[in-house]
Amino acid sequence: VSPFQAWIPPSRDNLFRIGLPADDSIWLTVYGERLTPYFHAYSTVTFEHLFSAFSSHTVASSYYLAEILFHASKAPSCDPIDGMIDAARGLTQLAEMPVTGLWKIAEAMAPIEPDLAVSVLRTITSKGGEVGNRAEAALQKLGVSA
Amino acid sequence: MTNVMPFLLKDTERPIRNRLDQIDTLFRLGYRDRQQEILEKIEQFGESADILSYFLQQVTKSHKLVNMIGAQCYLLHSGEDYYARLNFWLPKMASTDVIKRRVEQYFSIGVLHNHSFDFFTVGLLGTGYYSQFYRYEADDLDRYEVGDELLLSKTKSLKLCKGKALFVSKSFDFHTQFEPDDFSISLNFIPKIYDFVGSKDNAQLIVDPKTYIVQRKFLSDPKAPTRKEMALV
Repeated sequence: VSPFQAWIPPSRDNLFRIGLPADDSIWLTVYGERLTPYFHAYSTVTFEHLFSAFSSHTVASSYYLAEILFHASKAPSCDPIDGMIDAARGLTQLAEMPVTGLWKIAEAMAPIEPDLAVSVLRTITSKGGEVGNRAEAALQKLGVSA
Repeated sequence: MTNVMPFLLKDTERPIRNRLDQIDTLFRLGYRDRQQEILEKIEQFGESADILSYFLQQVTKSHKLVNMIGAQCYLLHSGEDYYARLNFWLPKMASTDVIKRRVEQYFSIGVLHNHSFDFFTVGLLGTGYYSQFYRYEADDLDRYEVGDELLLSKTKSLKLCKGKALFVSKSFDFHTQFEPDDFSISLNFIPKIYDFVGSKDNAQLIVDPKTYIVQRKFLSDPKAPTRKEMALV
C-alpha cells in the first residue's frame, strides 16, 4: 500500500491551484505579462493579491515544465512510466526550479515513485517558507522524517 | 535555435525521435502537399504521454529553459524544418470575476484572430479546448487596416480532444478559442519556411468577434515565423 494514499495534495489538479491559504481560498497563479513572465497569486475569495511567486523567465519556464510533468504523469496512457520518472529526476536537478514546481513534481511522483516524492519533499522542506512548511507537514503525515 | 537532439537516446526515446524525424522529412518535401500524411503522423502522439516525457527529458538534458514564448506556450523542440510548440489550455472557471478576465486576457480566450504562420496541431492531454473557425476566402487580405470590416464565413466548430489533429492555414483561417473542461495540452508543428500563399505582407489580424472589425494588425516576416509571432496561440 502506498504511503501516499493518505496524502491529499492541495493542488486539486488545476494549473492555477497550488495551495490553500489560511482563508480557505485558493492560490491562483496568473501569468502577468505576455512576454515578461511573472506569476501572481490571488485569493479567489477576496481577490486580493497574495504573492508573486516567480521573478524570472527561466524560473517560470521551469515551473511550467513541472506542470507538464504533473499532468502527463496522470494521463491514463502514461506507459512506460520510466521516461516520466527520468524526466522528474532531471527536473528536480534544475537550479531554477521554484519550490512550487518541486511540489508539483512530488505530487506527480507520489503514486508512481514514492521514494522520489519523499526526497523532493525533503528538498522543499529544507528551503523553508510556506511551501516548505506544507512539505514538512506532508512528511509528518506520512510518518517520514524531514 | 539549436536542435535539442544531440544527446544519447534511450530505447524508450528512440521511437519518438524516429517519428519526429519522419515528420521533418514530410515538412522538407512540402507540408502543404503532404498535409494528410503529417496529420496521420501527429495524431499518433495523442495515443500516449510519451512525447511529453521525451520532450521533458530533452529539455532537462539541454538545459535550455528560456523557451517559454508566451503566457500559455513553450517552444519545446526545433526540428530541421519545423518548430514544436506546446500549448497549455486552462479549464473554464466558474465565476465571472476579475481573475477570469485576467486569464482570458493572457490566454488567448475569446480572441478572434488569424496567424502569420501555418501550423498543424494535435491534442495531447485533456478533453481539449473549443474552437470556432471562420474563413476569409478572398486573396486581398493585405488591404485591410484597423477599423475595416472583414467578410468572414463561419466554418467549423470543434474540440481539440486528445489525438485530434488539424491543419490551420496562415492568413485565411480565422478562429476563436474557448477554455476546455479540464486542463489540456496541445502540440503545434510550425514550419520554419512557409509555402507561399495569398497575402504578401503576411499580417496577423485581431478581429472583433461580434462585428468582424479589425482591431489590431501586426506585420510579420513573410518567410519565417519569429518568436514574438509564435507567442499568440
